[in-house]
Amino acid sequence: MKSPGYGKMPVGVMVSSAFLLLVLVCLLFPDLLAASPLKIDTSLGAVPAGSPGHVLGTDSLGRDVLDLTIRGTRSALLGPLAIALGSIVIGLVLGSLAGWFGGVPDWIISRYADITLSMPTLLLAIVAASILGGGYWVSVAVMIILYSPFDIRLVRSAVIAQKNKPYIESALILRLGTPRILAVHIFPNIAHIILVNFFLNIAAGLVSMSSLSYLGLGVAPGDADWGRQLADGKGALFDNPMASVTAGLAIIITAIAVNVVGNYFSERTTIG
Amino acid sequence: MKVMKTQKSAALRILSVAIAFMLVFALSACAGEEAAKPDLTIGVSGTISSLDVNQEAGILNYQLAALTQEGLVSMGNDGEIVPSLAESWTDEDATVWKFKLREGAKFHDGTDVTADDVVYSIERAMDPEQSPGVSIYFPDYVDTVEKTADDEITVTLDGSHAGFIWAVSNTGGLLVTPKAWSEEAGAIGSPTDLIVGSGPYKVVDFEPSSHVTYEAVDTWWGGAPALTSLRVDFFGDEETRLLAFTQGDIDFALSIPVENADNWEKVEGATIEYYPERSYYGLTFDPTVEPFDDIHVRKAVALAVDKESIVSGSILEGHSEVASAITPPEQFVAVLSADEAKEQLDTITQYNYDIDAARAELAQSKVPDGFTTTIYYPDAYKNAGEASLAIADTLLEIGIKLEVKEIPLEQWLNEVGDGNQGIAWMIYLATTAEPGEIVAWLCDAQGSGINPANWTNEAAAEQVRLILSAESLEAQVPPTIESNEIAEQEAVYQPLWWGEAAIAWQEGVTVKDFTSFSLLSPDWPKLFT
Amino acid sequence: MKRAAGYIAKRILELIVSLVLLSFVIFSLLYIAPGDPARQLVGTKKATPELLARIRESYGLDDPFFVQYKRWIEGVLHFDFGKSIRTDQTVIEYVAPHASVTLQLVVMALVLSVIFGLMLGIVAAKSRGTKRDNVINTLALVGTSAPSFAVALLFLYVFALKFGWFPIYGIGNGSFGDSLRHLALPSIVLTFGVSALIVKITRSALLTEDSKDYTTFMRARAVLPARITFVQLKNVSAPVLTSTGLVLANLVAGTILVESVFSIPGLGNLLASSVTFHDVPVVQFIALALAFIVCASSALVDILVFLIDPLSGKARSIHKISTAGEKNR
Repeated sequence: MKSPGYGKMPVGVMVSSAFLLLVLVCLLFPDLLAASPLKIDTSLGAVPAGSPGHVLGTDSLGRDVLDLTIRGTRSALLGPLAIALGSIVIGLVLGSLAGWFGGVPDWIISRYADITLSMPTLLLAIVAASILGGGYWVSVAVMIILYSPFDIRLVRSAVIAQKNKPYIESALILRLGTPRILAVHIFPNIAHIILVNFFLNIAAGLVSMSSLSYLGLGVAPGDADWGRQLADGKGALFDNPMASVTAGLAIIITAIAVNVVGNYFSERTTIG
Repeated sequence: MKVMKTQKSAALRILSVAIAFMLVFALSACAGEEAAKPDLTIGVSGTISSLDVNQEAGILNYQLAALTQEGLVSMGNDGEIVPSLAESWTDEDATVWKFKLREGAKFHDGTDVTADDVVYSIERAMDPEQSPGVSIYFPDYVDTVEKTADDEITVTLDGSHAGFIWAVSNTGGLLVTPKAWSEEAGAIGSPTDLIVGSGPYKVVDFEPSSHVTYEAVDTWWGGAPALTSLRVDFFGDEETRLLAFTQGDIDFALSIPVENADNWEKVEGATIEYYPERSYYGLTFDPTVEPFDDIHVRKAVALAVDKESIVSGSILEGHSEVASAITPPEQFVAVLSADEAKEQLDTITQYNYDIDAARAELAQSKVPDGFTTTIYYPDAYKNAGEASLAIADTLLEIGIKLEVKEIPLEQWLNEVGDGNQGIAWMIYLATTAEPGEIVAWLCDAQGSGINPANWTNEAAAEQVRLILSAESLEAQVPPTIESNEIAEQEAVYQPLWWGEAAIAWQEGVTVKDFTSFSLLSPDWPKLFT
Repeated sequence: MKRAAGYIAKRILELIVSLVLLSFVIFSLLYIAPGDPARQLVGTKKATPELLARIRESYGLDDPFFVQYKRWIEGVLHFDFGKSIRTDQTVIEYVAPHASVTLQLVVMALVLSVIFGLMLGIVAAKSRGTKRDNVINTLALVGTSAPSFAVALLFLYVFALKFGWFPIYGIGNGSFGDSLRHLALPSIVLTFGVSALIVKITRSALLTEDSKDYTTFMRARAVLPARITFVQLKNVSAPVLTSTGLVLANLVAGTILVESVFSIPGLGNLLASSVTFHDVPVVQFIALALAFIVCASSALVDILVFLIDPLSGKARSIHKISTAGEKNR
């Protein structure tokens, strides 16, 4: 692997970070960038990119594709963020429990992780979402449960590695409480591994959640969402291919950017 | 350096091996033996899991069954009743029906069609256990079904019912199978027990969600069809079907949704024909659900629906007709021309888009500030989904928040009229040419569970009774119009549009005399020459 | 030997626990699904109160949850999965033709993934730092990042529609050669998504071997580079095999979406349509069968890896960190 020096960032990472920043702005302040609200105009229908007033054209309901994509950011990324965050919280709690205490809690938690790790995530999420009525947060919950075992293992092994170091022993002698030791001393030392995995989880979650919404699970019709937009846009493929192409590109580029930034962190931390 | 170079060439060697492998792979794949191409490949949207209409009675099941199976009578190309397995029949006061069996009709397994087979098939069709699909088409007014001679079947009803003839047609509920075979077969109509009928084609191969192939038989009483082999391909979505058509993989496509049809028109050499599919698309307001128990709410919502722009705008692209009533004019084809029917239907009370009037109605209601409710549409009907979003958009202007949700078609069918939905879609594709077919259900206002609106109205229910006991199809017309009128006065249904569909075919295929009835008539392969 | 037996026993026990848990999850999912289960069992048929009552009776729907679960599990253990609500065939009879299509697709994609993954991984490792390496790495990055349905649509339009190299939909006339032709493009789409994993693992594993003493020694002895690569490959077989197991898991999930894009009548499409039809016995069977394949193959791979290299515990955990993102595809 090429090892990037400190302070110098490869171009790819810089571009990716800039793109993610833009995505973040779309997520937090969609009203800044998109006209509100999304107006349906059935007399207009799908017009191609470059039509007056619609840079990327409109979809078959006459909605502006650019606005739709910007507003779709929230639905496309909130779930993946929640998945990554939720799975890290579970990973931290169960992983530290297992790593710190060892013994029976470790055995139970490790077996739990082994078992859930072998389950097909997307398959179970699809079945669960379609049977339970396709709720967005139901799919998120299922994926948190199935993503977490990896974080559990990661945190567990990191905690075990830190546990026997001298500074922890001195902290124990000082009779600092377990939660305090975990939070103040161990957590900062494993934060980088967690951060890397956080990014990887976001990228995977983005792909999984958009697969579900592409199948029509989890998001209501008419909602702005990239997966949904890609599926709906297929109907207007001849009139305005940009309706689905934009959404497809948004998913692919965001996932790539997240992976690039995640990989960068991981390389930095393995060096440092 | 030298080492590096050899390494590189090693990598190159690996690469060339890979390319060679790919080529072999592609070649061996291309060399897949070309099976005999069928005379005609038909692309249909959606899929079926059983060829037995008794088991699964979707419109597609009926259309495919019309190729292989027959009833005592069938529907002709213009919606008229024509003889099928019954050569002729008599009805005494529309009460005692005697059918004379055609001589020389044969099943695909080589056996003769006998009166016993017909009686067995009617009994099977009436049994809700064996025939969950069609038993509802066998009205509860049938008293007895008997074989009264070797070639005669007599059905006695509890009164006069002119509409009974549809029950023994292939579009209603009777598709005759051999008795002996049916009793032996495990899962009738499945790939392991391919359906056996007496029609112009026999099924050769059936793979659910992939295809069905048919072969013409020379034993059909109507003569051998022009095309000897047919193949029907199922498509999960419209886009793939269009692509297959563009590539020339399918020759003929039926029931193309009009919102996609403009894309089909762009295919070189293709011919697209639009036809009214005799369907009703509209909103149902359930007067047993808050706040739709208030007629002002129902009228306000009805007035806030811009059906003109749904039909003429990008949702339907003008390829459907704005509905002025529930029953489509083409439904009267057996007794009235579409224009004559339209004239009568236009006299019925209308709610045309008028946002100020809608606001005024809502102000008089018990929820003057608006409310929030949900509408569900079946996933197979994308145009209903888009129309729902457009309706939600205009309803918001008068303070009503309408949430739109997509559900699977099957779930939607199950939940029609379940008493939980204040506003709901009603989509109805008529299978017969009985003028009263649609209102006989929608306006049968005997209370909850009888009609999809759970509506109670003695006057409307009385009109439906008149329809059901009519001695002729002509006699069904006045009560049909009248029950439409009552429904509109009460604003329980808001008709939106009468649907059209399209068919498309490639250069080299000739389709003639196509009507909305063609696909259900047993000689639909005769369309192609 | 004793250690091996112990490990295998432990792994098989884990597999059994996983499967029991899975069966429990799948069964309870359908149990807590909204709506009346009797009504769902009726499917699209008209539900009369008598019919509903009869179904409640014959399926024992009024029994407590665990009684129902026990009855179902007993059936499963005797390979009795019930009858499809849609067609009245037994579930096995109904599912079998779809399963063979998916099997064909998955096997084709697996073979392609292993061949291409290994090959590109080797090429990338041997030309580390060059343009070729970068291209392969970028391809692998796009492959892992792009959702399979988006790639499927793209390939469909480009290779099938624009260039006309492949058929657009379905599985053809049912002959083996024709279905091979029809499944070629879908399996390439799947390969594009999952082989990236093998590329990455092979590349990084080979790079690690490159810095080891034996490689330096062989180079010094002027052993042929191809021969060195061969020896190295033998040494990295454990992580590569593990990644193949992960690839299989990803293929099983990916096939659902790819089948839907290409209208292939496989298990994925059947699962989707059975869910909409509320064909509960079929959904239970397919979900369980697919999960079984994934769990069983991961157990099998772990056992194989252990047999190849009993000290591989460390290597495995390293590679698992590097594949964190990919597991969940």
